[in-house]
Amino acid sequence: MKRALLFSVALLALAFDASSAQSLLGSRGLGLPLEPLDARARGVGSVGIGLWGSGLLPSDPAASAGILNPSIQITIQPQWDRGTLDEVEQSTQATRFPLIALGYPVPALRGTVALTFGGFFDQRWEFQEETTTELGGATLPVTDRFISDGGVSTVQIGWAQVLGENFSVAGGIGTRAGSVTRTFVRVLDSVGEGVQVAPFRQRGTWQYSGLTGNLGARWGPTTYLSLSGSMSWSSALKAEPSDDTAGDRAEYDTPLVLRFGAAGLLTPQLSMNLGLSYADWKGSANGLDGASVVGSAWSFGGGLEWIGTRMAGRAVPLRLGMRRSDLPFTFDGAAPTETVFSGGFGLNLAGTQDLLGGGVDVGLERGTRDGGSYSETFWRASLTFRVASW
Amino acid sequence: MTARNQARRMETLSIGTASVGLSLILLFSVSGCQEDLITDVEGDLIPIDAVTVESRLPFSEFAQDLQVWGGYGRPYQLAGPIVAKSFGGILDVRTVAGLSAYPLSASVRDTLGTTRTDSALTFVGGKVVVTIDTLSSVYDGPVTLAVGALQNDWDFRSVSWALAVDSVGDTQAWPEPGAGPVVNVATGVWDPADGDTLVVALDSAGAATWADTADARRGLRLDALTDGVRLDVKSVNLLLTTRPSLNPDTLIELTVGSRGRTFVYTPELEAPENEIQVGGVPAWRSVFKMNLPRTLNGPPELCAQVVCPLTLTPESLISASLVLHTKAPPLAFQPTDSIWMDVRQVLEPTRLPKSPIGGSLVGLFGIRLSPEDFAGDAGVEVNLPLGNFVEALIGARDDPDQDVAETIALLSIFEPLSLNYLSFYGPDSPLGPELRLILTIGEEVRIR
Repeated sequence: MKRALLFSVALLALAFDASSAQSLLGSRGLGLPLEPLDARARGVGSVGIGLWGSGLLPSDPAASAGILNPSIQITIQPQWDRGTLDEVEQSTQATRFPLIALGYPVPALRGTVALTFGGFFDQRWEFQEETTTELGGATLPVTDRFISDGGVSTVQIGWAQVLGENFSVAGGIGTRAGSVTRTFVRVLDSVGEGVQVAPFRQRGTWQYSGLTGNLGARWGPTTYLSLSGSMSWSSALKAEPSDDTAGDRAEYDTPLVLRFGAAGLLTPQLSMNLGLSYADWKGSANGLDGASVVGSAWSFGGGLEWIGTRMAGRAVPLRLGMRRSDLPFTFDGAAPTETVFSGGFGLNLAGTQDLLGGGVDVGLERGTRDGGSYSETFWRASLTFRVASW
Repeated sequence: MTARNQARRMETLSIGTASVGLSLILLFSVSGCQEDLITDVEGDLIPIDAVTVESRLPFSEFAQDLQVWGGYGRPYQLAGPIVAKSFGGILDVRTVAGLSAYPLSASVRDTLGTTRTDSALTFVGGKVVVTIDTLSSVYDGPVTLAVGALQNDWDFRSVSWALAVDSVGDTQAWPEPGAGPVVNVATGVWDPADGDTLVVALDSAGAATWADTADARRGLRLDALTDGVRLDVKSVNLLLTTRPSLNPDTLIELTVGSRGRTFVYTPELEAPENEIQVGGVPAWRSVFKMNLPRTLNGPPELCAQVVCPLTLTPESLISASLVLHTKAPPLAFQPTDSIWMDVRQVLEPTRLPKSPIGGSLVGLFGIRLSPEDFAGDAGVEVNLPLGNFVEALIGARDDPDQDVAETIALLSIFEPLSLNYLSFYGPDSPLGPELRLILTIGEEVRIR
């Protein structure tokens, strides 16, 4: 099994170059939110907090307090979008790696160190426009393209501490990372026989930085109920141009994010989770077009997880969920929303004699996004590999 | 192994297999993750304003010091010789071919059927076999060709219409211009209707013409006697008919080896004034120095779209072409087949005409020009792409570390390529060379 898992991870590594453009909604503001969620959270419609049991999610830092063994997990997320803008259809496919997490419990201190590398905003998108230009007395076709490639991510380290029998708290600090390269390309065609025309390119690259921190808590008032809360703070997100970039530096305020979640056991094999998050983006208009920032952005979602199904002697969790989220940046003057119905399952690959625990979680979401003149439907798959106690 | 362990092992194996299978499925889906269709919409989705403009600079604004140099290559380096008589009213061309010594022996089957070497050969006749390239040749009916025997020392590498030898330290003129005089050996009529081969029969006296093994100047001259023709000769061979002593009832043919073949022609061309000339044999090169302006301040159509003066930058340049207008050469030298033209940097202009030259600026295969481009008086516009070169020139002005040779040569892709040459209007003509620049000026890319 160890070989099988290693081979699986190697296969995923081969896929890193496959990333491509994503939703057109990512062209506004700081991009499309890329939440650091794993396949289990996606499967049950979570907003990133309030799942039953322990986990490694930067949005629910106290959840890592229950981890028993050193663990590492990686999530890969392909997505297929089909959208319509002003009756023009477009489709994109892209793959993201929204979360890589490492948890290391310290039993002597009843705590866990968690290191996460997660997404924040995805800024990969591309537009193409067909126009004409007058050149030498002739009207020639011109293709203009604008390509944004990159995004903002977060590297964070935190500590989760168990206090008493059913209460834990956590805190962490981190830094924003990532970069974006924005390129304008103009291509002229059919200028004339023997005339070679190179594409015109103009580009700029910016490196992101900034600080972030979070606090979280989890309380289990009964054996069948768990309540969670967290808040994430960010300093201004700074974008520094590279030496060969003519554009200016920029700075954006990002809001405090508050999350609340609850999870309960409905039966010994069926759990339910509910979650809610809130961020006020009104104060983030600096550096951005004020009209492009929505006010309050709410997300709520929830779902069920059934662990009664078994395959090859091991539990195969089945999940269902639903979620609705406000996106923080307007498109064509409207505040877009994302609605998702999700499902998923897990495969526990624990090998007792190998002292190796692990598993694969798969989440599949069918969603819609609507924003002004643009609407799209999408399929989003998430696959999380978990390895523990190696 | 216990049954329980075996079962666990089977479980582990099946789950591991499932894991790998899932990964393969996901890898398949991920590896297909490319854009199907990028958005094509109107509106403000391209956050950059850009304008594309064209400017045509006359020769005096982008270059200087046009010179035409000749002497590159010799006729013997061409694929085949030529014969012509008053072609285009002016061109006479004669093929000259050196001959090796006659064979002294041959393998012959005697009357008993045994193959033996016979060194007592009797040459009773022979023939000169000429093969014509019927596609590229110009003729109008049968053509009479004459075979003559050269009477003077000559050098096939340096021979010309006037000179039998023209090498360093040794110059010898023909007693009679045009590789003459010759001893007339035979004549023949080539009728295109009979195919591409002319066989000129030789009697025993004709066969004996080149029999002296001590005669190092041994060679034949092939002349056209019909006016207004130009024949491209693919091959000229002398075959001897011999009667072997071992089997006198049999005649056999032996081929005489060749010692090089070439052609001589008249008139020889002079370097033109105010004209760009490329190709020919020996080949011509037209050389000039680039002298690009730093800014563009016109024409009015340009300044109507951008702020003038407009500084030339490598970033804004998306196309640069040298625009030439073809000019018909004299009919005798007009191209009859495609000619590929090249542009190269002259690395040490002070050593012209023997300066080393750089790599091609227009690509490995050059620019193909068709014979129709040079057939009429009006001429056609020819664009030679020089984008990378001009971009390097502009970039080098502000970068002392860059050293870009500014002098360029227009030449044929191989030298020599053909007797015909390319001609273009020179700087003083209204149809003179231009540098066509296409520029795109765009706003800087901002992060938001």
